Amino acid sequence: MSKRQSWALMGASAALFVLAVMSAGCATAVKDLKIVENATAETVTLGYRALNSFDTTKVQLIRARALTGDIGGSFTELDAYVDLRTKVFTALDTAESLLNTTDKLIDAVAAGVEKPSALVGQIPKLIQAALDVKDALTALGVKL
Amino acid sequence: MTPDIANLLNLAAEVGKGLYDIVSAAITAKQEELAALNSRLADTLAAMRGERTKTHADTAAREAALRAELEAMKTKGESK
Repeated sequence: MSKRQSWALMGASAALFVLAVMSAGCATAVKDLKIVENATAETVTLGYRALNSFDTTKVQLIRARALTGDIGGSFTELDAYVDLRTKVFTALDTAESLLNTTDKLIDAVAAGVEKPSALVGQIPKLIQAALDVKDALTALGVKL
Repeated sequence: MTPDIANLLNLAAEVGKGLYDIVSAAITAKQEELAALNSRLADTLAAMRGERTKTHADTAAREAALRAELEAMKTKGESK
């Protein structure tokens, strides 16, 4: 190895090391955010599935009530249930929208369009969105 | 350049190469880890979007069918 090659290699090593140290913090933050994003998306997916399954049962129960002759009561029960179901959909759709926003934000930061500081606060928002989904489903009588 | 300085330079270059290899390997491992995470996340998000569309469609269809049935029952009851 010539002296010039030695100096070049040492310089490249030092530059790479500095770059690695500088980017490590940002990369870890993005990785953590993606882990939370994935967990939230799994919760939301389960939430949609649970709601769909619950809805099947609920509609059958309301139909059964109507068949006993209590049509007025069935309409009332259906309307009350739809109100609650709408709240669950709102929580689920809000979380889904936040996940899509987060995904776009990460891409924008990676592309240099947005500053990394734009990602600050996304993790607590995602966790809150997942908790809102759980609360809305619990209010409906569904436990995740 | 004295032999001592030349030896020192060679030693420093060896250390530099070792450092370079370690950092390169670490970066490659991190990139692979991130790629796996990205792939998993893309699958999860796609599943979520599919589930969203399906649940909205299924519940709306069930509600519409039930309302139609209830209306029919109500009309039948009123006509008796």
